[in-house]
Amino acid sequence: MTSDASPQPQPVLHLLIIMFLLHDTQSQTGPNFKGIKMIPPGLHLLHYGSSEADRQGMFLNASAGSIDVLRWDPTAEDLTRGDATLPEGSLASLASAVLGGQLDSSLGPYPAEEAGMWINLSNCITQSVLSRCGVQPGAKISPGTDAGDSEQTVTAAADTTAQSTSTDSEQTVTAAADTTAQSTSTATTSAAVVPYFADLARVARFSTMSAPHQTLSSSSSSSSSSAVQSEPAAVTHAHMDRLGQVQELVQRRFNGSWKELLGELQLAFVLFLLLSSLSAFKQWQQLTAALCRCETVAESDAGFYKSYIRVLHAQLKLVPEDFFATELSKKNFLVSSLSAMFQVRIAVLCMNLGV
Amino acid sequence: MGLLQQAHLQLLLPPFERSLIIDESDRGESPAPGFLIRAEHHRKLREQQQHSFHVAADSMSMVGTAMDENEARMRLQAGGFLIALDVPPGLQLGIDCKIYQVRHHDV
Repeated sequence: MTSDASPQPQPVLHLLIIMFLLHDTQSQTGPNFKGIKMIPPGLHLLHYGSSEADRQGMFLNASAGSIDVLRWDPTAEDLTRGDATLPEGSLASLASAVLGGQLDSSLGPYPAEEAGMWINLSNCITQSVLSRCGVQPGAKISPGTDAGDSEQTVTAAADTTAQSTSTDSEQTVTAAADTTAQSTSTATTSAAVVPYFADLARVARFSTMSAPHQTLSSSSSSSSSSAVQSEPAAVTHAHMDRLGQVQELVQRRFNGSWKELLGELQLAFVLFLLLSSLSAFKQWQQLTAALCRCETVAESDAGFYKSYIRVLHAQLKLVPEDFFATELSKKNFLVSSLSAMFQVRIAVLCMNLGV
Repeated sequence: MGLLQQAHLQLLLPPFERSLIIDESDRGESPAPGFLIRAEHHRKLREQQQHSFHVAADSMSMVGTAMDENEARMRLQAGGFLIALDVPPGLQLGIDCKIYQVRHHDV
């Protein structure tokens, strides 16, 4: 059995190492810089900051001729929406100047050769994925910290509320019922979270995965009302093959849509990569480790597996070429995850070939 | 890289990416675990990224790109705009995988 997907002791180190490749894509602007033109239609992530340590971001939906105006607020030391800060009428005149080509020399073109890379990194991120994580287009995104603003915090609050209002008779419900109630309350609470200050940056709230043995007991207890004692072999299998764990997450959090899961995986990766978000890194790490250990997913859902391989491959393209060889990073979680995936695929290949 | 491992990689990767598999044994090094990404491909990609963005001294107009006028006009009409006003020098403004470092005015 390969090592588990427990958090690595040096996540920040991995974060710094993986971010290395983006340094090559920096350009210096001239003093007349006023923005970017030729942005391909679709979802894009704008990110800014004085250094990698204090980045903020914002998703933008571009379309043909769309104009997003931002303005630097020196008081708040932050970018704000132009429609809130610019005087009345100036936004319209600015739009006509942009469309008339008068600002053309001050606008840098979107790098066309990187459009394909971005599409491969973000093609599953949809409006519903962003809404579920609380980072709708136009909302500022902060990297956050590891401890705060995750779904776990919301879940804990919901659990406390549920416990305080439960009666004696309710305490006799089974573990499965508890799990269902928790997941329902979590979904309700997550949907109910609305930022009071819309302009403040918010942290993406990712899904939490249940432990493999928990998903096993919840699925088994649907046929039995008594407390579930899973067979040791079943518990071992659940830890070896994480398909049940991932399926439980997809059903509970994504209404059965595998594409939404891939969308959250991609969202976690781009927020980790571009905003240096540690919580996003941990989510990407957790999902990658689980998906690589889904032993039977290639047979049960070939379409999803192919899509996941494409997503994973696009992400691994950004990893430095010596990432798996240098002393500092060669013991990262990707090695164990990819090794587990290769072992399963090789075993399947040998079975098919009759070796 | 063993034949079995190479065949396995071919199965895992989508068809258009299969050409990226390399044989590390050609360079006399021990094969790295997991996916092996062609170093030459990355090097070329990075050189392309660096050279295609030569920034003019007093504006943001790009020279040295391979884009002709028709293509530029087409992209301009099909694309959107992001206007960032009063951006202070030193700020790093990025979109997707590209980062622009706003230069000081007196440089």
